[in-house]
Amino acid sequence: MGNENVERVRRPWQDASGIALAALSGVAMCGALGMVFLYAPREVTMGDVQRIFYFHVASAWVGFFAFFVTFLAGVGYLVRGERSWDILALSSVEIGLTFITMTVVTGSLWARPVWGSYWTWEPRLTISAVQLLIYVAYRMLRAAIDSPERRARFAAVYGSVAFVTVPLSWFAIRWWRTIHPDVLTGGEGMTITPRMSHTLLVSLAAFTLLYATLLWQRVRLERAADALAHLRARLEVNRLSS
Amino acid sequence: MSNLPYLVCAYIVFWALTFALVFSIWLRQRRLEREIAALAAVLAEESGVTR
Repeated sequence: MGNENVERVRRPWQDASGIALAALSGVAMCGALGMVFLYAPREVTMGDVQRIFYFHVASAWVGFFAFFVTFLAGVGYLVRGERSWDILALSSVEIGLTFITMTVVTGSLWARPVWGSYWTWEPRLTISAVQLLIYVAYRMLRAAIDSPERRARFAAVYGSVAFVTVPLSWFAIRWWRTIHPDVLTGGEGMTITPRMSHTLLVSLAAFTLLYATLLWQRVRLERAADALAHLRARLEVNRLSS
Repeated sequence: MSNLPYLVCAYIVFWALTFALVFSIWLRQRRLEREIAALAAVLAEESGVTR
């Protein structure tokens, strides 16, 4: 990486596109929050606690999407062998982990008043817990491998295989007997009105923008780390040659 | 049904985790920027000395 790139990674938060994306996602998140509390109707059976639904589903969507990007980036790395694919995979996993943690915690807080328990070992929840552990292990195992090439190759394979937990989690409520509601495909558990659908769609769009913003900044962080490593190597070479 | 504390907790968790992630990226970015600036200065200085 040359001096130009080193200069470029010094001011990621001031980067115009990054700021525009952050501003857009900030506005979208405020809009989604406003719709959740002011536009969406109060659900008849569950009451106000049902409003957790909008951010719970949207964070699950971002978590799944982030792991899908990791899967694609893993395949991209195995095919092309370029560092940029590895950066994308690593950055996306970190965001996916945060959002799946949100999904699990907000789901538990919603479950307590509705199911009478914070947690139950039903298929969807069990798969979510296993998925969380699998991606935490991805981060830990990456940190344990010293060689950058081996680490990237290992992470690409692991990230691609780990993605199987996403369709498994999605279909869990259709394949097995479960108490988790299936709202999105018109299954049982909760009836959603048009206003609820609009709020959910806006929340999904806002969360997708938030994901894009976070991914943008996380990728730039990793590039800055690469620039630093490059500078260290240059300094070493300079010292050895002088 | 008064379940407002659960609703409030869920949204606090959401915002807390979002800000934690943003803050952690920002903090790491600042540390890297400082290190890059310091190393670039050392490199420039040493290149000047060797010339």
